[in-house]
Amino acid sequence: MAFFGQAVLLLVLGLLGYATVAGSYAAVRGRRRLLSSAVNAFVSAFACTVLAAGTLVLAFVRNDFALSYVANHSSRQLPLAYTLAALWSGQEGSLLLWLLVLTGVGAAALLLNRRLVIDVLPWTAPILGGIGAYFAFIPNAVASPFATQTAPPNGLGMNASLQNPYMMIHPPLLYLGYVGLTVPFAFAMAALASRRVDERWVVASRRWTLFSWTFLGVAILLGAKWAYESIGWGGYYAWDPVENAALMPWLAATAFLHSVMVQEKKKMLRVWNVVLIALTFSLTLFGTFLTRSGVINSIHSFSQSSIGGWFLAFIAVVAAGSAFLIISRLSILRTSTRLESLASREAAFLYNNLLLVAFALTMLWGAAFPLLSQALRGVSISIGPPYYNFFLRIFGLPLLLLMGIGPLLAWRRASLRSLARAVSWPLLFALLVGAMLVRAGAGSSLPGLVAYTFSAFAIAAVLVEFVRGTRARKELGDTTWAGAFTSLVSRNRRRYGGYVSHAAVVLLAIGVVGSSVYNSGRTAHLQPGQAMSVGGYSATYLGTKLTRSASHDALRGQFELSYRGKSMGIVEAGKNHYKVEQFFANAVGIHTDWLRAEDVMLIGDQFDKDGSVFLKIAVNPLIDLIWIAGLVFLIGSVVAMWPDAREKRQLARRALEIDGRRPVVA
Amino acid sequence: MSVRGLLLAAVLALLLAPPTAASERHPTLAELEHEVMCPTCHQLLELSDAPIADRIRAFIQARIEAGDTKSEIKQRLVSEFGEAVLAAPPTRGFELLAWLLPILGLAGSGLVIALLAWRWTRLKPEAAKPHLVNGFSELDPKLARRLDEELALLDR
Amino acid sequence: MSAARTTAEARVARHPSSGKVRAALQTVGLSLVALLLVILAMRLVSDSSGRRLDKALAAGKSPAAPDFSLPRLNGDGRLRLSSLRGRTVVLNFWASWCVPCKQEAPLLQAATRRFGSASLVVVGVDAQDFRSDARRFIARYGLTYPVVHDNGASTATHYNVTGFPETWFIDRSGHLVGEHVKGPLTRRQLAENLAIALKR
Repeated sequence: MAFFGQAVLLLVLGLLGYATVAGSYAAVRGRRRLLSSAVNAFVSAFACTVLAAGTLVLAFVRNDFALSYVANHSSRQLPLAYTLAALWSGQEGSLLLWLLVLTGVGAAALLLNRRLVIDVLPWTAPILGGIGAYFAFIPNAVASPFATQTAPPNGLGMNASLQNPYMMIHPPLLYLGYVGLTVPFAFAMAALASRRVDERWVVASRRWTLFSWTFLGVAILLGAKWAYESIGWGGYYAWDPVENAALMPWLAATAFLHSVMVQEKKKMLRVWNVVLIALTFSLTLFGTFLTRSGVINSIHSFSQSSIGGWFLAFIAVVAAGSAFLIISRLSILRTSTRLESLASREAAFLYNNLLLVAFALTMLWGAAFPLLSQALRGVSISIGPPYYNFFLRIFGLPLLLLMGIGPLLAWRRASLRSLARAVSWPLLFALLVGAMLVRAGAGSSLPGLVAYTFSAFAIAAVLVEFVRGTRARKELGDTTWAGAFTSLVSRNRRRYGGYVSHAAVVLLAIGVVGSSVYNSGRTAHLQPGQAMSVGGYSATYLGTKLTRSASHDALRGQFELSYRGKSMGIVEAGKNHYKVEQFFANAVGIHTDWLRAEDVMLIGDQFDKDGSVFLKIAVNPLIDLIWIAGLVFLIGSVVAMWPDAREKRQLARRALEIDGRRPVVA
Repeated sequence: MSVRGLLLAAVLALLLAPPTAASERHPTLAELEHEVMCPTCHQLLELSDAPIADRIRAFIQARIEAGDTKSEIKQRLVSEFGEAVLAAPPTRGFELLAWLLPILGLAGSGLVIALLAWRWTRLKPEAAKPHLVNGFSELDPKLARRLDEELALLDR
Repeated sequence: MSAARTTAEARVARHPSSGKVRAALQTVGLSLVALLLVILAMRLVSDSSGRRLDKALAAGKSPAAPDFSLPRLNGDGRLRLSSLRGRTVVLNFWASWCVPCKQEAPLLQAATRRFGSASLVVVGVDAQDFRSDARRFIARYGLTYPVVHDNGASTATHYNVTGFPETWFIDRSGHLVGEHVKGPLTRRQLAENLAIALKR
């Protein structure tokens, strides 16, 4: 089995190597059929990777402990669902998953854009092939998931904190997002290498960027929910380097999604966009390097191994290669369509890019600075949550405001009068909300108050856009309001999908601010029968119960929860003891009040032999808006991604109008 | 307009960020738990239940009761555990660079954009106009038409 | 502006400085990226220096023990490791809050008594700990061997210490020998490793 897996992996490397070499030759010489075969080789590499991953999964299911990877990450007691997900519970398997996603997404991109990648951007296939070959080289030569040993009677089991339903979905989604960003990068670099730097690569890569960005965003939120529900400290994001590693490319991709709109519409920012996508892709590699090489201290302890140097070398190659390509193509990238006013939609996109990229780079700087301090002064320092929270305010609050203003600004140049008219309603609404919040006592935190006022402004701006658009459609002949609304959205899915995403960001901001600024919590030592209360909630300790299962023992304290004297039922909080892994994990109890989007979290810190418990209660107001935001975000992305023939025609027509020529397509 | 809003917001955020004098003289344990790291586990003291984290909490509580200011408590912790015990670097000396670079970077690039935009907006419309329809205009018409046809094919 | 000129030329002609600005921006950006990569590469190498000790020991070699000079907790002044050349050193990393360290301390104290300070020195390196707590620990267990305080745990990092307690054995010439014991020393581990270290 190990031999078969290894052989298939070698075949994958061979196929990707062929795709790179033959593809490059074909791109240089303009050989269409050879290029076509390179594309086919890439697609076959995907099929073979599926086979390799399938082999490993089968080894897990059959408890084939002769494979070190299986023995180190599974056991006979592990439930089947986790056995299936054990593929990505360690380094070697994660890299195989990376290869699987890369070849899969890459093959889909090549096949769906076949004409483009063969006729217009011939370098796409060899570039994707090269990146793929690197990721096939690692599991072949450096960290093989098929390494063998003499089979022990039982495996070591899975890290207990991974034995959680989120673990089955978070890593694959994260990888879809992370690795998916390779596609727009490959398109961009291919456009440069092929000297076709017009807007076609942007149009072709838009959906891939959106796709990756959506999955990355959803995966980050799922990771946050995982941390929130299973680690048991009442928080969901700790600015840990591993968490930041996913957020950095997401921010850069957000910037990219916005700035390519400017390029599509106005043919501006061509250089900036290729720089930005190269940065985004490098950040994904970088994040992986930081978290997997053991260079940085993190609470997430991945197994350290020798892949650090290989990753660093690859990052250097990517950085040098893209820098060379961009600089050597500067003369054909340059356009002289220019910013006409600092108060215009283009300018707003520019500010948005500035802030997003600045934040992403600040996070990079924050990760690198302790290393710099260590190298230059020999002093180790920490860059932790207070640092990032400070910059979240500096960069995040203006972004929130900008999100409200941007969509109200006209392209090219916004006159003061039109701007004032557009802004008036949202501004009024925001001021009203601000005043109400001050009266309600939200002034206890100024940043919180500012964030809420800005959020109100941004959400009002989105609503105004919807109302204005719907009214216009109604006047143009739609009979009902619902009909007008539907036709409005379906006529410009990208725009209104984007607005839905904006609404999601506002919800997220409200949830984050609410749960981090206005939260409350307390710890108390309770005997059975005693009660404690926090913020209107009261919990009475009833006693404990123990449930045994094959993989773990579950100790649960039972607490009767009430809010202002009204019973909310029984909430259980305790600990799980994983037998094979010899590990204790918190099992927190969460009561959600969906009406107020508020959580009460019960954490049994310590259960003593005399039956008493150290109970921590945390009240997190508005926290559930964060998870709702994830859902809204997903809806927005789906609306924006939905295939739209009309939009395509419009796009072509508009592109031609800008060129000042007659439309070719009717 | 939005630039002014942006600046205003940035200044506002800057003003709001530093701790107020009251919390310097009368710090609370909860506050310090957000600003101090657990030295063995690389996470905030607040999130940690390591034995040393409990010791540090007890130490902080004792120092607060003894009337120490926030910076005095932090200084004592640094002398025991090294600078890495602070969750964020101090805003002086070499560590100031950690704070300053992002701010200077943002201000610098903002300035560059403002400068470029000012330069561009002062261009005469006649000079700017032919470039507005740029895109393929540097290509010869034959090639441009072929490109358009390819574009159209893509759109099918 | 002449219409015949290409736009790029026109812009450079209009603003002769912008070419220089662009070149400067390119240089700054690229050198920043390069700097970052170099720092990381350095870190990757230096970070493994602690691990290198372990690897060398496992391969049967005796790497030189990294030197340090740290303030003493029982006694005045500082202790420099290299000043102990000519004597066998047991380098024990510990902290007062660490539970197994409490079982280990009497064992180390007994070894000091048995061999005498002329041939064997136990050096306790207390890290990630309050000095007052450590002094209390020293008094409680009656430790007479020198204990130093490793502020910032940088020495512990150089010795690839990932938890407490951990112990290294250093021979008379200042080289690491025996095994790097992670976790509390057993009587047997101590005896075996001391036999190796004292013989050299």
